[in-house]
Amino acid sequence: MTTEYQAVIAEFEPIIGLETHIELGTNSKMFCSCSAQFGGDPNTHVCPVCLGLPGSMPVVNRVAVESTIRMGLALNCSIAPWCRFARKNYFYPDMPKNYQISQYDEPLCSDGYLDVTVPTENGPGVFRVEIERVHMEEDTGKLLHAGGSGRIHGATHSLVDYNRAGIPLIEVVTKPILGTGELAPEIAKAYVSELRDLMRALGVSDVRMEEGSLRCDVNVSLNRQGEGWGTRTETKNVNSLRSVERAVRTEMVRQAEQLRLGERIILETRHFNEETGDTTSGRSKEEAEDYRYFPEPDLVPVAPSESWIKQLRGTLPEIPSVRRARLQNDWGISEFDMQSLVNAGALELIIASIDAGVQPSAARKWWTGELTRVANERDCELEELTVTPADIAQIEGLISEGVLTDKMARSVFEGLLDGEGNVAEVIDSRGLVVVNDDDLLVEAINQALSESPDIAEKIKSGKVAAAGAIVGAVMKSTKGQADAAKVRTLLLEQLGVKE
Amino acid sequence: MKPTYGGVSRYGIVALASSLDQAGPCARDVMDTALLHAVIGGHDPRDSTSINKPVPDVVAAALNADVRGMKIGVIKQLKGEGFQAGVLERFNQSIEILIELGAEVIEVSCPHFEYALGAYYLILPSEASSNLARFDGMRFGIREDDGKNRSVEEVMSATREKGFGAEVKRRIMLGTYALSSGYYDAYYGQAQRIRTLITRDFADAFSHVDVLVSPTAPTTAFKIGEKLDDPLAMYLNDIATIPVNLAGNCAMSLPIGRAPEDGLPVGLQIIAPPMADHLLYQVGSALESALADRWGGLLISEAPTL
Repeated sequence: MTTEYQAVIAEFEPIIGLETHIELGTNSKMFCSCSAQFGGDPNTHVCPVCLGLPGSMPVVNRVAVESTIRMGLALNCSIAPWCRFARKNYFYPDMPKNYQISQYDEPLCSDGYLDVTVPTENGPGVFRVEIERVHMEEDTGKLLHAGGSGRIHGATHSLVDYNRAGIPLIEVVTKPILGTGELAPEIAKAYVSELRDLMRALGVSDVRMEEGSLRCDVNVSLNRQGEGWGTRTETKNVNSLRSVERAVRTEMVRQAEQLRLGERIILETRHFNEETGDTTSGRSKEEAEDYRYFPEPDLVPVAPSESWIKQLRGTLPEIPSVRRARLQNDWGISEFDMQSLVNAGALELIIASIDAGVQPSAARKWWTGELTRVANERDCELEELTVTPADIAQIEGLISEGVLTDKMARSVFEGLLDGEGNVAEVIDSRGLVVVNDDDLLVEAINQALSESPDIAEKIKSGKVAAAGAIVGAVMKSTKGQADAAKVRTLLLEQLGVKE
Repeated sequence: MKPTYGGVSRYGIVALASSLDQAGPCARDVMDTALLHAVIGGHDPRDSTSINKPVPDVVAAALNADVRGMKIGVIKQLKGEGFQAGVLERFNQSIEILIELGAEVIEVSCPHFEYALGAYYLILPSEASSNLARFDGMRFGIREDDGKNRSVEEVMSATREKGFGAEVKRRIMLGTYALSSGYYDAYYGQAQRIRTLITRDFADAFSHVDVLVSPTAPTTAFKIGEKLDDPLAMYLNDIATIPVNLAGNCAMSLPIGRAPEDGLPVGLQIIAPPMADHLLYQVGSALESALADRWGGLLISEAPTL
């Protein structure tokens, strides 16, 4: 923690608030039967409804409502017995209708909470984040500004891809989060991480952050102790866990600088720069657009029955915090170790690796060791690495079959991380094959012995520990492609020495 | 014929005001109208506001041209001030015929109808301002772009300036204003409350009678373009039909003769509760055949001379 940040905390109290948009993993879009798959050639997942053709009408995706209700229940929200969609009107070509169907003053779920765990001086601590609402809406199309730098400024024209238009989104809005003190950035990150894990546990979204399926708007304000709340800013589209943490921190530092200079904070939206971690001014909320919300008259109200809600409640899985406690116990690790692997973003990857057949201890070793180190080095999330749980299962399998040594396995990981292809391709291109031919090994052993006759004598005289030097020489001459234990056994056999 | 809201799918119909829009059949006589209604009516999975219930048997009702024992309500608020004498004369004559045919006619009061026009001219423009937003030259509508590398906003603005007529623009502006932050509650919100009160007026009335009747319009047709400078006067002509639109129940307009003073046709509006569209056909065909007996044919056969 920088001293700069500590100075901010000494003088100010932060209040944060988070609005998180997450794309649901439904098969079809929110209001039509088009595929909701990510990608596809531009404008291929479209139909009259999501293109907003005059005369077309939306129809609500029942699975999306179901997912939202399950999310609401998992967040301890109350579910509205009756609510409506609303139109958010604005003129911009990312929505061909010039309005987005969302929810406004009648959200489907409201007043819940999510407990998150953050590291404190006294070990992991639980912090309760209160949820204001969870609502449904449709995503907008994607604009590509062509010519110039790719930004709207200086572009010669813009292209629109409506594949994303109409993808179901849920928006989860927290109440103002008070009392975080210096932990504000960590709590923000832990909250989004917990939300993501919850969505995945519920199976309502696989939350591929690298595809932009989770987007976070980060609200931050500062006030001096005993004073009223400060003016907030809203940093839009913060798209990774690490960025959420950074955005809160840099915005706190920036606002503190302004306030110390006696300047006022302007109620505005800000942009987050992934490269520098800085935020820059967007549009002022004081001149903000008026969205002219009104109830969507093309849709009937959503009125989930009590029996439906009850049935959905019965489908809720073990929530992540409970599951973590269970796994910690199963694996026999400390709360601190559990918290560190959660913070590293390794938990789900470890579980997936175990599901793929890897021993729990080996799965933890790879993800929290070597791979975490590489992720830190590259300043990225573990799941962005080009190594998958299936790769680890494959490599572990090859090790136990004796096809790979530990050392070779590390080389395979290197190859995978450098994008040299899949496991088989890396093994092939790097020539990583255990030398299992006894004759070849014996030949290499004899060669090594003849180069170091003194060591050979030592071993023969009973100093078995000296065998290491010869094994090392053999490993070197076989370029690490031999199984060291096997070399040792063969060596002792050759010399007629028993352990 | 305006079927019950949701009785006919709106899918494929360019929307003006989604909560008011309703497609309905229009034909030379009641039976033809019923036949068309039976074809176009019913649930459409692509329009979730369409009613998922069987279409009332409107053809059988049109065949059953019998009003004996039916209770018919005359709406007190829709026959007084502002109604042309010849319109009322024809209207009263039709009432007499319905009584002769065996109906019981009583007067009912719908006290909130006087606010209907104001509510309608807030709700319609509000929804229209949103529904018509897509006609901006990007994907829909004409595109007014002189190729001078203008911004999206400028092209949209020029397109809408040129593409929409005066009355449409008037309504878009009214609606945009009514939905604006700070005005929503006073305008759109109040209008929705009026809508609820009008729906209750109808429910109260239908607890006493089977159908309601009124003139379809307070005057006979005005000349094309005659009231363009006086939109309020023009809007007032809708005063009798607007409550039905707001409440979402069904109504039929039946020609009942010509006004003596100008020789132009007069319509009688028959109103029934939601999903009781068949009652309109039952009353309509009874009155239609009684009038045809008097005239020696349908009024429409005189159309070329009107």
